[in-house]
Amino acid sequence: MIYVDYAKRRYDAAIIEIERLKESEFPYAHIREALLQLEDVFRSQRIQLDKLIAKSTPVIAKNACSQSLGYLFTYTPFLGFILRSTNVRNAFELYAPVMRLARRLLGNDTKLLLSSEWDYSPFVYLPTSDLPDCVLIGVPAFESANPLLISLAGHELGHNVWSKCGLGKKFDSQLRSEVLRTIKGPHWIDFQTCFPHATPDNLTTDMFVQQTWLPAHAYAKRQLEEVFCDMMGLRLFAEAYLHAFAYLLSPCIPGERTPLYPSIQTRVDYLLKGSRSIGVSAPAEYAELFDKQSAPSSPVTNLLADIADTAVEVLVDEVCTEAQEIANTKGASMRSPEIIETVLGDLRMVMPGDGTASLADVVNAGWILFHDEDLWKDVPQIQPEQRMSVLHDLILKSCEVAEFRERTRAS
Amino acid sequence: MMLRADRMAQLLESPDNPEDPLVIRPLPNLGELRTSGSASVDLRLGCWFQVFRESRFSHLDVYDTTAATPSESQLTKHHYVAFGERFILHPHSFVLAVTLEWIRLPCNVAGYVVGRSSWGRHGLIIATATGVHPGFTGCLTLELTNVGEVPITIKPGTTICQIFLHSVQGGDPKRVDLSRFVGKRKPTIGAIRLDEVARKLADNTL
Repeated sequence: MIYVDYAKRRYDAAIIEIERLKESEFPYAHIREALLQLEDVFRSQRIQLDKLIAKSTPVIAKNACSQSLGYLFTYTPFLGFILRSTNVRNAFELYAPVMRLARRLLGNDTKLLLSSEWDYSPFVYLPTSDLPDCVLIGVPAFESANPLLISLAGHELGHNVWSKCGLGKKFDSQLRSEVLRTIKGPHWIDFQTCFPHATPDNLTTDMFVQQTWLPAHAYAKRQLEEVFCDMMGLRLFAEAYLHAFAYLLSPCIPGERTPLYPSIQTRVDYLLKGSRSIGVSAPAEYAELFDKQSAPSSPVTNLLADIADTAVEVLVDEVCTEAQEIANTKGASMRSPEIIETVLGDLRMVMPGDGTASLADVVNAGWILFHDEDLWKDVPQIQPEQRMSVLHDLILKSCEVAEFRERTRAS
Repeated sequence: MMLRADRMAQLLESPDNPEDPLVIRPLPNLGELRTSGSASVDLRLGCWFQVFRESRFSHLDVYDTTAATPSESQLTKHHYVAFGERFILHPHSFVLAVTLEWIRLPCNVAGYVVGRSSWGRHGLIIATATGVHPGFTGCLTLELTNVGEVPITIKPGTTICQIFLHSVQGGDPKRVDLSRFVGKRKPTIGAIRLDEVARKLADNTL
């Protein structure tokens, strides 16, 4: 049973690497704690493999090895994430304010792991039973020093809120009904063309027919979660969320749209709708920044995506309200135009905020200056090519000054 | 003329020229400044450090114009030490650090940064009277050396140095220092630049 030996060696190699990682300079305790939790997972898997003594049958041994391989597949990216969280390119000053925000939304046991990704899209790893209460947020590696993009963490925190508040379950039956209503209504002819055996009556009763529309339901669930997360980002960071969203995604990612998200133009429509509801001022001609994405080339996928789109649209207002209510109930502050003005005044004079503004206020002020073509033109010490790095440093220093105030106030 | 601490407190609280203020952030305790009777304000250690990668280069030769100048990241490595964490400075080692405070000097004020004698007596030397020019804005890079015989633990937020401020007389009040170090939150080594005279004198051809 050589595969048992392979599995053991794989785990030995992983555990040696974890030992190395433990020697890293961890900027915050939560990251090291998460690594130690993963070490426990790996070591306990390794012990299980040792228990596969000679009397195990090949079937049992293969099952055990396959399961242990699954753990490696699941958790190896987490190790990479932890390693990258120690890189000094990261804007460590953002850690404390984002963690405070995460704890406000998700509870005081929340642990935050803020890192960078070699994946362009900001990413969140949803909590697993092996890393309870951990929120993992990654931003593209080459943007990880850019504090203006931290507003996208609002979207990523939204995923954790969605999971923690059981919103998937809450909206599931409504979404299912909408999917079925959509199929039987505006999409019926197309649906029956794709699936001739389907009738309005057997959609829910025939298990084979059910398989035809269940993917649309799955797409709709994912899409609705993404819409909720956009609304959460909008509620937490307001205009700064819109700017960061456009910075990262406009005009659109080339190729076919994925049915797991609303198309980029639809997302933007929802964001504009949410902006009106939340009281956020969208930039002029914001929608013009985005282009139409290609539809899925597969007619079936395209149809199912259309069905999901239609079903989700009905619930957009509701998830927008839900995001606002959760943020309000948890006491997450909304950006304040007055405080943003004060921060703007400070940043224009090339000094950080005085520590009284929230992260959302500071980042919003930062975005206003990002778009100000005359920024520091009258400050000869700052060359045009230095402006963005000075702006980033001022935003990060503002966060650090706020953290200083918070810590010294508490004492 | 050197400014007393109570005058600094006055300028920090209500600047003479609101469009060109003296700023120190985080703001020092103004009550203490008013009553301290001293002529300086204490500054705290920041969270960023920069150490040299000694194994990466053989020596520093600013006169060798044929060699490619190594970049800052080739020469050094940054470290971040969060509040509550520590940095240990071993005997005879040298590290760049940064003030926690972001300083903005108006056009009529300059300053000198010096170490605190209490640290100095324990072997921790902080630069040698670093000059800060009118119009500077940013965090100040500190050069820390442990000249003692025992390792010294330091933590961000500790008062580690002090800045003396002077009013600047004469000249164009709007002319400011165009230093490359303006507007930074991390320590930086910068480049040693030879002026024309030094370049001519360094040339050994007759």
